[in-house]
Amino acid sequence: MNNQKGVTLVELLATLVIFGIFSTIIWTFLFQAVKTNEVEISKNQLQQEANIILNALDEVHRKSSEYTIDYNSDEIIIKPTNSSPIVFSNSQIDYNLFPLVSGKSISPNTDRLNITLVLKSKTNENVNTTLKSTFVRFK
Amino acid sequence: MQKTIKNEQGLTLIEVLASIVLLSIIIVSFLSLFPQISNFNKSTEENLQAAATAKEVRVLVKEEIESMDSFPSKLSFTNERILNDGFYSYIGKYNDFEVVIELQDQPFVGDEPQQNKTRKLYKYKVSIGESDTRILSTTYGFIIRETPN
Repeated sequence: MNNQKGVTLVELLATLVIFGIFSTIIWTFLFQAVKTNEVEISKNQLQQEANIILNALDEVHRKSSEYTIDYNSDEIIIKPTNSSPIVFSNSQIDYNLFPLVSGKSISPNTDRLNITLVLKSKTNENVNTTLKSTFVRFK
Repeated sequence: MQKTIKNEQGLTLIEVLASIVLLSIIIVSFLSLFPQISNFNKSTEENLQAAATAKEVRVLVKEEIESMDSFPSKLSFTNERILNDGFYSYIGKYNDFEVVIELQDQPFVGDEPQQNKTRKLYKYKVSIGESDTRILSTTYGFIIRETPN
């Protein structure tokens, strides 16, 4: 403990600079990882939602005699005439359905449903999932 | 113990830098494992789209073939058919996906005589892939042919 010379200013500065450089690099990596993770999570969420919507629609189209699809950007409601409506709603998802068949009644026995479902994430603007499908009841 | 504690020379800057460089090389080599989630998501999306496209193509094929009296030599989105062993192959493209349709040339469950017509079912298989080799989704259907007796 007799050595009380300490460090010179230059040494201290050098330490700070090296520490600064490396902490910046590590911080950038970490930040990037967190951001990528968020994007991937919302992508995954959109895919699951799209899948479940198309499956529900498939089932309704196969089973019910008539139904309507009501939708706006906040929710999609599939209303079969003879059973309870199926609601899809998620505060983080922007729902889009083309063409605009909202409220129109669909009879699976005669009508064919051609739709494009586009789900967009409200938290990450450029994250979206587009699925195009056809529903027909074979006779 | 006494001896090791008395060695207070520490490390030189070069040694510290060298160790950091080595460490970062090792870390960077492992870093490529983490973005795998993005690849998984990509292939999930492809599978979803392929499944939806398969459903669509199945309908198109059925309607197009049933609107004609005999099996067409080509469909609107495929090349000329190829006769393979027991089935016709139509290969084409739909929505950026590679589509292969295999249609059996013999009826599936023989003749099924009804009152004044005969109904025949021809099985077909729709395969959707990103190339001929990597199949993403498969679905089956039947072409119904009714001929009066």
